[in-house]
Amino acid sequence: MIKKITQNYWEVFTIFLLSLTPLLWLRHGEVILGHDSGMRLDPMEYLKTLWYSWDPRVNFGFSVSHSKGFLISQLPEAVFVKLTGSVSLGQTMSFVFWFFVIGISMYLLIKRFFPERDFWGIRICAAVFYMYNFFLLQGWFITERAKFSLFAALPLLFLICWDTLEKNYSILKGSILFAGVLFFLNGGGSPPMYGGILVTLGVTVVFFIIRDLLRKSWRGIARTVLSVCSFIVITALVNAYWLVPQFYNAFGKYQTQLAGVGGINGILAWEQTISQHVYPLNLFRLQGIPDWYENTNHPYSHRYLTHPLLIVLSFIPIISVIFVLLKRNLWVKYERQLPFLLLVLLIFLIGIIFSGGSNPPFGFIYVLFLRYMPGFAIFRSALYKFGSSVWFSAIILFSASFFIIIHHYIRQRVAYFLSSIFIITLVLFYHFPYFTVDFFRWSPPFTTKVTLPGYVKDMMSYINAEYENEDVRILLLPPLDSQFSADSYRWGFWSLDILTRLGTNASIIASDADIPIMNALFDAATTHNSLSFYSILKRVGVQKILWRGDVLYPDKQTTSNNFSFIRDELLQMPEISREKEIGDWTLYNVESASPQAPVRIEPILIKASVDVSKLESLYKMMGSTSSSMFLTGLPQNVNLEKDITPIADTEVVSAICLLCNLEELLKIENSKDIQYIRLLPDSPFYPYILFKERSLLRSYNSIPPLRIDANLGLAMKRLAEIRDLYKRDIKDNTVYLTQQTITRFKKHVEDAIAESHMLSDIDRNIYRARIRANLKFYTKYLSEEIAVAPKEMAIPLYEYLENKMELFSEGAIDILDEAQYFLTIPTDGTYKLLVLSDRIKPSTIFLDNNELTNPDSEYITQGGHKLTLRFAAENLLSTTSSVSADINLLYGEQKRFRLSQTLYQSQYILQFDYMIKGGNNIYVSYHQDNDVIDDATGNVKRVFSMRLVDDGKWHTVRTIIRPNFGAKTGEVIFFTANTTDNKSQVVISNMKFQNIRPPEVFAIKKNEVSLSRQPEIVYKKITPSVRIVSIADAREYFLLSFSETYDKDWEAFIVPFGSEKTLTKFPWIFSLLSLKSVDEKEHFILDEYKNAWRIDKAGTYDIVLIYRPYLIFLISVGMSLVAISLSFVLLATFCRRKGDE
Amino acid sequence: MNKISNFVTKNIAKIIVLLSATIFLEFMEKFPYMNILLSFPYRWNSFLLISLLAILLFKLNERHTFKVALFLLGISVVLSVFGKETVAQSVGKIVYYLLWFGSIQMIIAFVRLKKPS
Repeated sequence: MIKKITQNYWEVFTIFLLSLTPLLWLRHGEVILGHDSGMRLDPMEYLKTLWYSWDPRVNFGFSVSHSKGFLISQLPEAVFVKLTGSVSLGQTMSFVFWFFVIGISMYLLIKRFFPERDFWGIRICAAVFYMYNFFLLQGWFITERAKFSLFAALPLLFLICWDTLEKNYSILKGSILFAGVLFFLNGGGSPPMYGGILVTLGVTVVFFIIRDLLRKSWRGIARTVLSVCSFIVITALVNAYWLVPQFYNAFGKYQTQLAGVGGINGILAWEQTISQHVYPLNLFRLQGIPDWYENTNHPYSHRYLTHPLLIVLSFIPIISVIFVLLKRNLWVKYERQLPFLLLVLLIFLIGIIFSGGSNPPFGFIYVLFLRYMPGFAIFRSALYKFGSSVWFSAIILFSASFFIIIHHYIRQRVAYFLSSIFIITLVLFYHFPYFTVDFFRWSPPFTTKVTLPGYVKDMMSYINAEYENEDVRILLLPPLDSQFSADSYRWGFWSLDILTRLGTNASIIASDADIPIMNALFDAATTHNSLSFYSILKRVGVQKILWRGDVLYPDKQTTSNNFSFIRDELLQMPEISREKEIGDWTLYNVESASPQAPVRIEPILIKASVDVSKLESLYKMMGSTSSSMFLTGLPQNVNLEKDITPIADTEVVSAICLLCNLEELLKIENSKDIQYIRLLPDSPFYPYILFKERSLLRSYNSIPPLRIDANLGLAMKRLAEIRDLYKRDIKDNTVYLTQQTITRFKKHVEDAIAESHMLSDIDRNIYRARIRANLKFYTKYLSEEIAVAPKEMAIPLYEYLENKMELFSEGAIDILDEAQYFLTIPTDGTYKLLVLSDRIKPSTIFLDNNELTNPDSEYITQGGHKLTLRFAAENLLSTTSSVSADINLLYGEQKRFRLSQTLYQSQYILQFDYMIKGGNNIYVSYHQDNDVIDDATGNVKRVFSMRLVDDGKWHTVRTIIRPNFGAKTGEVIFFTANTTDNKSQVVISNMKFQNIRPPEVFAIKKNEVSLSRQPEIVYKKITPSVRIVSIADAREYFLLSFSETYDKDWEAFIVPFGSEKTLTKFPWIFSLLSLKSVDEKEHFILDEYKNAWRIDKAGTYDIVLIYRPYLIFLISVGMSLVAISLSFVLLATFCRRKGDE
Repeated sequence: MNKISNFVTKNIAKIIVLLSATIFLEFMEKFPYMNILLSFPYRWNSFLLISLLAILLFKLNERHTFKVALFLLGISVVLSVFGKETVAQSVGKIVYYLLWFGSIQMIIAFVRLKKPS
């Protein structure tokens, strides 16, 4: 007995010793933070947030009801950090814990099938291989505890499943153990992570059913089915605490979430990108991880993909498996283990099918599942979701094969021992990045292993200490980068989880809150608009601003300095004062006479009938008012539109811009793609083509816009046919066919023009511009591509197009100098016209062709009106309206045209005419101070760069420029790549750089509103998900707003005054379930983000605001507790019975 | 040499069937629809059919299948070392198919072994 314990002891001790590897990782106070790690500086505090289902740190609050599984899977680090009082040490200990759990679970499984003393090598090797492999290492850089916990659970679940189906365990005992494992190792409650377990256990169950079928044991099959049902039911009950909220959250949202990732086709496209290297051969070698091949900065993959020795080593395990398989004399000896090994082989082969995703050879199976199995779309990156089944089975097969071979060929005990040690050591050496590579450094300087600067720690401590008991909202500046909305710093931190949210308890408002009012705030900050900036700050209740001077954007070029004007201008306003400065971080205080309370009565509102996309501009203009905005047309608001009219003191309508999409028109004009023509007009099948085209046009008879587009497309096709007629050898009928095709071309153009007359005023203008752009393109195409056509045919066609373009130029506007709008006024009255423009202000405004003298007060009648804004000439390159120059360049020289001002996040057009007089290889490009350097090539990426055509003719360049976010400088640069000593010469004229973002125009009408007496309110926050509002002496209905993110699950319960003390405490909180909340039709949204209710009850009472998923969670915790208690009792009974026996 | 001629003499009918099937499939691949059938989901379908036919005709056991798999795996090692990744992956797919064939043959052999005579 002692010998047995000693034998087990050193094996377990070896696994424990190897689990200490993480001690090598974090040194001198380093911590894992950022990326997708989900690590926090105070993990216990985060568990509390998870408990309450609502995270108030994320902007205006965010539901975390779907993340309840983390209550267990993040518990180890929370406990260790709490116990040690050190984040670094606590994290290290939790990593050791995960290493050990993973190793020991595989050890237990192998010990069940290879318990003999001689097989110590298989046990240790499998455990070590299971702890050290690239599937896990890919997770270690973000310490993916969800992955680790399910990876650790897999061998145990397989073992329990096997023993239950083999009747070694009763169904009940097996089910309780199964549920118990998944209680502690729950994968963070993330269903997609269960893919590997589903494949492994699914194959196991089918294996047993087939075995029983072969034995004709119907009872065996029934028992297997019953076991599976029992596993599911008991596991669901024990894990109800995360499963029920998860289902509640997902219920009815699957389709929405699916649409959010681009539907099935979007998932397939993503999947094909992710799985493009997951071939069987890579999986045989336990490789194929997408990041290895796509990340040029990957810390270790390059060596494994190129070094011959490492390549050869990667094949040894699979070669040893096939070697054992082909030697029947090797495996027949293991008759007892053979069913297990055969099953594991099948899991390996089937796991490859699923892990390979949509890749050949079996990708069609994955695609079929994805298309036709409801819910399968959650497994959208196959390798990460199903890969554990491959690694699990492969590691067992590899370990068993190694030792079957050496057990067979090496008879001497010492040699056997040394060979076993050699193999285990080889496994460790092969995975050397675990010990020697800083694999946390995923894209230098960004890493997940960081040393928090002292000033960051101190500032977070200051905020936590000063505002521990206050609901403080802190605005982060500079804004996050516009591409990823990532928070990143020059000392290495990068994450979509904002750093300050990981370390403070305050509400952190950042530019990842994609709501119009916050977009307006950040836009105001970056466009020097201090008035709007301060007004919106007050409106959303921001009390503090945190300036971080150490920001480094993911582009690795943009820093806090690019936004220094915000600190030097906006934060120097008299209303903003410096509160605390520590290192690179500064906390500012926003002085505000009346800070917005989280809950308030809304006596008056602004009623806005505008498109959501224009709200951002509206907030920038209306910032100074404190009234909340009620947007009509929203599903949440549709029931209350009539009710709020009497209290709306302001009504806003927006004008619709006509011909605003210059980018689209330019795209048409500069189009290069031309259709591929399969059948030319002399083909016997050509009449069929014409028949199909006529059918298509007929089907669009009642839809003029589609018919116009179809005609324009078909006209293009005719031109392509003429091109191809002249590309082949000229035949007798070529001229005749060309004439016929030109006739058809003209017919399409005429039809498009005729159809445009059937459109409404707004659409007609839009389509006239589109037809004109197409005509321009046809003309260009005719001169460039069909130059081979006989002149007697080409010239009339050219003239025809010129005539049509002239016709369309009548009444057409130059959208660079003018903007036209359509304004629909709901009721007669005096309106103020507000124009918000990044461009220079309009010089004149016309309403129905009459110049407005006082746009601030204009009587406008009900109905549609045409509004025109006219602008003075603008050129950001010079004080003159355009630039002309003769440029002479030698290799290495540049001609620079610097922009006169910093550009906004807007759209600009660069246009010029040019002719190359001498030389070649002349380029023009647009340079900014924060242009990105491509990691792979080391080249700078420019937003615009082109080579000029050197044919000695005049050409025109018109291109849209979108400046980089935060760019301080911009230059148009001409240079030559001609390395000869000859000078290159280019003449440019009419060069302009203009802002073309159309201004937003709103018409605002003031109404007389009689203010009624509003009740007094007292607000109290009980927990993040439970708030109490005491209402005193309400006379009639009123509107109550609650400035946390709108969620239909926030509910308002009206309870007697003074019920707060009992109703909000456990277990009385459940009595709320018996009460009826305020009708959901009375729950609406204000300012596009906050909750509001129409309360129609007079008197004095309390209102409990509660987040329903919290109640559901409490109930599900009760279910879990009952199930766990019963399981304990039953397990104790089993143990006692066993003892009695 | 004798061994080969003996093998050919003994199995001439089977060899002819296998060759005919190969030629037939090669020919059929040229026709519309058949080319899709023989290349969906993967263009080694003809190879698969011929392998399956060979296993059935010559009653090959799992050892033969695994031997070929091991040989091909050796080739893919060499290809990988010399950076011929694409070809190595294609060979890897054949190895994967062979592993399937071999495993099924092995399971059948195991079931037969367990059956009481």
